[in-house]
Amino acid sequence: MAKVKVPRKSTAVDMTAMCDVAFLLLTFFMLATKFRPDEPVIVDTPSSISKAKIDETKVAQITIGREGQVFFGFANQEDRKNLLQNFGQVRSMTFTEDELYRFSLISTFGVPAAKLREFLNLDPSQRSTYDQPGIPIDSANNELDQWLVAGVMTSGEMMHERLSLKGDRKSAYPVVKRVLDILRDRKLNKIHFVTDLEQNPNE
Amino acid sequence: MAEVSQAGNRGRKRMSTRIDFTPMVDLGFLLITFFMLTTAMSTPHVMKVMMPAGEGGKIGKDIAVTVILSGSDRVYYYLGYGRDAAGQLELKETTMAGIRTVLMDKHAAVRAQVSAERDRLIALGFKDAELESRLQQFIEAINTHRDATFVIIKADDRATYENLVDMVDECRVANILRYAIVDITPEELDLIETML
Repeated sequence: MAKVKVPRKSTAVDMTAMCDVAFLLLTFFMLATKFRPDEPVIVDTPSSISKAKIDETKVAQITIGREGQVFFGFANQEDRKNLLQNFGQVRSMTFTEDELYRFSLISTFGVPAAKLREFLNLDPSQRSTYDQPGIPIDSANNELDQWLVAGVMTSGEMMHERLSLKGDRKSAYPVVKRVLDILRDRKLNKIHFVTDLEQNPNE
Repeated sequence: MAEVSQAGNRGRKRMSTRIDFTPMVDLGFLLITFFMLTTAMSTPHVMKVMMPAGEGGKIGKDIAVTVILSGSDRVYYYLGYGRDAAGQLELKETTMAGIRTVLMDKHAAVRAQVSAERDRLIALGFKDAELESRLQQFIEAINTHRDATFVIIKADDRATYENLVDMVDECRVANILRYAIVDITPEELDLIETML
């Protein structure tokens, strides 16, 4: 039997090509990226056939969580500062410059006014684990309405174009109805429901 | 000086120009992972809903459809609103898919016009976004007509937000843009209880 001589090959692979691919993808993601804002609750939105979009940089959003907690927030950082200032005016509270700045970094919040100061003075890391109870919407203590008044003071007539409602599929109807009623009482009749896209059976 | 450097070169070992890229690949993929996880790729879609401002004008009973949403995705409906001329109020039970047929039948004339308009626009050479926006204008115009179907959406406490959005969506599928979200009456609530 003749001995077959197997040449020993080096196990080192040329990584240059793989490196190229990795950095190509990295460049793509860096250019395409827009950071996802922090959200206090995960919201699974229902689907609709609507293809419309909204200018996300200026939106005023009401979020309704699965357990019916209500959150509110402006997308624009400068607007948020004014929002808190105006809310202070509505409730005759004053906020320090530091509190205004801290508030302007929070995209969505759901804390009653009584706990707002305590919430603002937490570290960002503590704040993300803080269990936010939601903004009160009952008629005795309708803080969402006060936030809406502050919102209208902040963005004026534009509030009508910017209002969006992001609800969870499973959030109970009475809460949604209550929020819609509060909006109606403030004459905010144009609402954008945030939804996932689904196929239109007409197409 | 030159001699010194020549003497130095002669003794130096030739170094390979190859570099091991493995750590750089590691770094690249680590950063990719980071960006993939933090990125929000697609902007969400929105459904624009106009709520009727308070108590508006009366609508004809012949053009109205009342839909009542309840728990476990049950849907009840009846044509018109309130008691009919004979003083009767009778609910029919259906599903989301069933209500689509009801609305489409009710709105059949308009749907035929919309579909004719779509064909006309396509024949004129419009497509994609332009076609959509022109068609949308047509649908809006046709819905302002006083004979256009009006859907009254009600729900009891067991319904969810998804039911509501689905229902509004069904109206839009049937090209109905006139709808209102209204409080359920005690009478309808009792009727649902008896139908369970």
